[in-house]
Amino acid sequence: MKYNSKSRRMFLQGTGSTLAIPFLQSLLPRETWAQSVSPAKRFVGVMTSFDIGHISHFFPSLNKPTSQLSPSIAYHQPVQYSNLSSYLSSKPQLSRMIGPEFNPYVRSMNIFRGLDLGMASHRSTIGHNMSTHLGVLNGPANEASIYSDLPKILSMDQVLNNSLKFNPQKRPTYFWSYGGSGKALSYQMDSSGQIVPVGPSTKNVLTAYNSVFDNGAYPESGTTVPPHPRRDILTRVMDDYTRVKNGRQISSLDKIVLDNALDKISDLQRSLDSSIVRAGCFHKTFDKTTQPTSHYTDGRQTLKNFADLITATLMCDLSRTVLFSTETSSSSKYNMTTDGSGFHQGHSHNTYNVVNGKVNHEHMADTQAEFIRYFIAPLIQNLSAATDPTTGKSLLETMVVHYSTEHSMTHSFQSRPTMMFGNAGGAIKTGYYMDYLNYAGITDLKSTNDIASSHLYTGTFYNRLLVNYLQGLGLSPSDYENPTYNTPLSNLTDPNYGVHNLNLGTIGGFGHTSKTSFGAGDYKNFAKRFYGHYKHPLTLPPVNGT
Amino acid sequence: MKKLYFFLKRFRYWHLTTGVVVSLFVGQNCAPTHMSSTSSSSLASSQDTPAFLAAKTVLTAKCVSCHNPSGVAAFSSFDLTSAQSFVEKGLISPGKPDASKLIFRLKATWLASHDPAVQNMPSLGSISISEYNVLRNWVLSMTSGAGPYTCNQNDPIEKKLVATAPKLLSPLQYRNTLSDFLNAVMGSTSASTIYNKAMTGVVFPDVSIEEKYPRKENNLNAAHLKIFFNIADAAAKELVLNANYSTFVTNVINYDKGFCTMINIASLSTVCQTQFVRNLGFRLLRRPLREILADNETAALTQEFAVFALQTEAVSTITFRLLLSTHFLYLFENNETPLTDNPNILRLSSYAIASRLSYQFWNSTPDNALFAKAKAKDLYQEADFLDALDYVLQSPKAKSFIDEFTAGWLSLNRVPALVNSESAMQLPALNLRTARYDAALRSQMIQEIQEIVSYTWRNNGFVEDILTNNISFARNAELMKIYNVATPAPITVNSSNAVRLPATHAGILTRAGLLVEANGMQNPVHRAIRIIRDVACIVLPEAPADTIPEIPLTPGAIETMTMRKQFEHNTSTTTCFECHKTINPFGFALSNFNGLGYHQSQEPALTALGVPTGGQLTIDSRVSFDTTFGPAVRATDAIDYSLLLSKRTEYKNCFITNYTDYFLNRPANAAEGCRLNKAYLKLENRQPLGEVFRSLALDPEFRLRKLENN
Repeated sequence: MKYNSKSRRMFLQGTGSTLAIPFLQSLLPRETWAQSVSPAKRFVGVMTSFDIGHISHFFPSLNKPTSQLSPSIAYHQPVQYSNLSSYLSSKPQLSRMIGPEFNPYVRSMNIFRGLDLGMASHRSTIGHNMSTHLGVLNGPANEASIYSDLPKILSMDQVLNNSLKFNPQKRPTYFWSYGGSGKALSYQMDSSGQIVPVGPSTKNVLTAYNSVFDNGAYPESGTTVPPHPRRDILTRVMDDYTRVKNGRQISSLDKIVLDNALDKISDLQRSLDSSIVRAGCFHKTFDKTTQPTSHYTDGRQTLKNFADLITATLMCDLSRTVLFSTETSSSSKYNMTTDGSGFHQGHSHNTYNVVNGKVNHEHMADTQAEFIRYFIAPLIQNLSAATDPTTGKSLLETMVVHYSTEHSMTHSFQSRPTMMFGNAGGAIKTGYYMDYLNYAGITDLKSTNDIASSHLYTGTFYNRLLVNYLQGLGLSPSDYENPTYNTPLSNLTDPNYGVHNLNLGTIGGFGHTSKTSFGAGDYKNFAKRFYGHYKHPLTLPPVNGT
Repeated sequence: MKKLYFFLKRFRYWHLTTGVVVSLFVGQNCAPTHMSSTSSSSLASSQDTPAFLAAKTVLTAKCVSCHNPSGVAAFSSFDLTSAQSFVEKGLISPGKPDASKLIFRLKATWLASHDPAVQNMPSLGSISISEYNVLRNWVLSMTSGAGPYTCNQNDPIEKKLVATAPKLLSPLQYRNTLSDFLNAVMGSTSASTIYNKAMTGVVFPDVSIEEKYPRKENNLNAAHLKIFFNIADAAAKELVLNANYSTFVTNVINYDKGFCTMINIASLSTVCQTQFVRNLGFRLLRRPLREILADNETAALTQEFAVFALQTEAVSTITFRLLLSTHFLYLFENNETPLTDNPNILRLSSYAIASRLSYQFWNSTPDNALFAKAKAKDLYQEADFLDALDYVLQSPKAKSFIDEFTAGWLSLNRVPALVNSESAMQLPALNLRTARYDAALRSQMIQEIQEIVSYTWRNNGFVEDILTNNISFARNAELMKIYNVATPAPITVNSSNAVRLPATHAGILTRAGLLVEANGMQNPVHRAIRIIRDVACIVLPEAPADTIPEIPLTPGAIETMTMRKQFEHNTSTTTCFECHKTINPFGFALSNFNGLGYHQSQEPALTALGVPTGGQLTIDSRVSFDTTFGPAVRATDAIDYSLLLSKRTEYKNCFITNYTDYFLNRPANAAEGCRLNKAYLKLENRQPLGEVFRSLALDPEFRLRKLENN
């Protein structure tokens, strides 16, 4: 695999050079002035579709963290935590998967244990899909009956994208992936209210780059961009649509189509306004051409390229939300191992088999470690080195990078391996290993391994972390809550659902909790298993870790 | 060879669990059901059929103790001497198990839809899955003679029509439309240059691998719009460059000169400007522009000549606007004529019908000849419509819809992009030909299957032929190796020049594209699932997400077991077998084909480490479909199996279901049963495939549009 160190270095120097440029507000476009009142925040969601083999490979320790937030602070649930830095006193890196590249960033990150997914059915619940990662359990239209009691809702990236607080310029959300079509299992609501498969627009970094940067024509830092010559003509295009809309025999379905088109054209027109390219916007020099040629671990350079692309996209303020995933389809070459079997089916479902002298779960962990090392680490390094011109802080400090992955061979919904980077402009405290497991009754910590059937110790609801993000990124509950989402959990009085859930009234919160009926995952069992404060963000310590 | 050991060790799980993107099966919930609740019937109708005899056995054992003239259910006694008596008593609806009371009331507790409150028969005891299937199959085997779908011929047309949203051009349709437009106005050489420039860097968003028919996608999102914008911008710029401008404007005006008798390219007269706009608008919107006072499209566009000092900019802007307009990007059917007795139903104009036809069968805009027919005739009228329909279907461009349909129907997007080169691990021991799997071979595998359907259609073949055709379409040397044929297929195959495959291959199920596996190992379960899903349309419950229990198998035992034997072993637990007794036969019948599609009469014996022992194992491809199709339904090998399936009602129904889904860009609505019956009966009555393809277009519904109530 060819590594273009020069272009990468130039790219990073480019972003870093903004540190030396005096901040001149007058050079910023109008929209950026507005952001100086309410600094822009950004979100990057990263998901890998195969699991970690064994939880010991991801978490810094399987032992209970030493500190505790009291139940009164943590909504009835004691929460354990430790400074992440404390784990580095006895070992060189946080875990097998989280290598030494992250040691400089332990105060800018959190690792979460004990976050459990909701459940709906095999398709939407298993961990390898992006919509679950972002709060949605809806399934495919042809299985609508299975999901009939789940309201059609927007995933977190869609909520952010639609929010004028978070995304006032209505920048597009980009979704790219390493390998695969990625749509096989992930479902969201489209503009017409239908649940449709969602997935990355491309797995090709050059295609992604061309889409964002107009085939490389987008100017770099400091350049004045005139309005696109067709900008004003779009007004006449919209007039044409309006004339059709006002014409004869326009049905309500026609109107939906026309209104959606008008909305999109209007957004497009806004993006063609005159502007001055942001300080720190450099995108021309990094490598966009190297593509993976075979299986997953051959793609280190491609992963780094995507990390550079995401950084450039954010620095140029061409998007506020970027999603990135690995393959979710077992049939693609990118998810194949060297012996030709699908990674997930070939390894994840055979945790303890030995392949090429290595136990499968170790092989899986090491493959995940490759991804983290060659994608997450460069991304965090980039974002930490780049300066947000509106705040003078690092880009990382003003945003959230969220990472989670599938957990186990049985698609366990429990204790999804999750970590995050960035402070969302100070709104989210970092530096911790947070453990939300309910330790009551645990006698053998080592038994909380990767096998769901023996992993009986539950934690709290994963979507609460998404609430942390939504609030940290500037949204209010009214921007994302819908009390109907979790209606079945409201006003429970049956103690079988857990005394902590009694009389909760309107639940609210974000995202799906569970179908009303799905075996061990139905909402009653969820209510029993969790503390029911789904609307509350996870409790974190009040200050950053040391 | 070490890898093979791990393969063999691992495949017990992997082969059985690689169903994340396809259906897998929950043991205790395994009851095959059919894709459409009213979608099956059968060729057989005699009450003396094996299906009725088998049903009588179950009815006797489970029902008659109560349902007899002196039993507790004497009010509903069963007459086992006559299948017809069950029909007359309203207990069954021939061909429609899901509409049959007798089937509905069964205590099929394993069905997700089971309602214990009303589905409680037999009242004492239970009914097994196999008993349930026997009864169901019996009902399926009866035919009403009017097709299997619920249809009331007396329903008014309003009830039969489904209101739908305007259809956004699919990426394929968009590209074809732009290309055909440019060809029409610029000639092929310049058109190609302009098209390529406009399309530089354009990649439409990926479509889900689960979406069989990509053209169904109908969501205009920001990414699509940006692509359309960029293309419109680039094309509109290119067309007015010096090298192109004169040709462009002249050709557009010459299409119908109207009052523009003399074209002054440097400075178009007002009438020529107007004629340019009219003609260009006609080309791109596929209908004449409206010029009524309140809605004057021609005037709205022509004003650009007043806005811009440079005429080229005006021309470019008009082109740009039209390339982004509603009626270019969508099949948008308004301003049509309402039926006098129902204002919510529009009688489509000739132009709208021409567009429906061309986008349905060509995936592109009407050509000059079709436009001429639309202009000269009333395509709403039967004779004129048939003329236009025949013109469209006889055009070589109709290959587009056949290929797209076939690719979707048979999920050809799942033909693996990469096959492990060590897939040949079985081959050395057999001393077989080895093929190099690459993009060209993959493409040829897909194309071959498309050609089989296309050939059947063009040569007045029948739907059965798709499963039995033994003509080679292999032109790629690697594919020829797989089939062991020495002569490449002619460019245009006909019955006299066709190269025939060895007797071991016949029909699509025996073609490499439907046999190849990403890991190069034959996988009977994958094959079975594909056939069950795409060819028979039998829906089974979702698979368990959880661990498949391992069944110990000693290394020594592996050496004596064919792949089939190993799969039989690993699906033999009660939990697994509950479903796999249905699944496995659909794959085992193809045991003679290895993971690349080679036919092999014997399998090499391998050690647990994958080392050939030198021995050969006898392949058994005999299968029984007792649990799916009924007792005594058997096949001896792949050829026999293909022949069997080709005659099954399930296959014909599945074909109709898929074709309807593709044709309508949505699953058929319950109100459209009559349309489906018409198409289905063409298959039943052995009419050529082309008649089936024509059928849905021939319906009156094709020339009407129902508006959703505002």
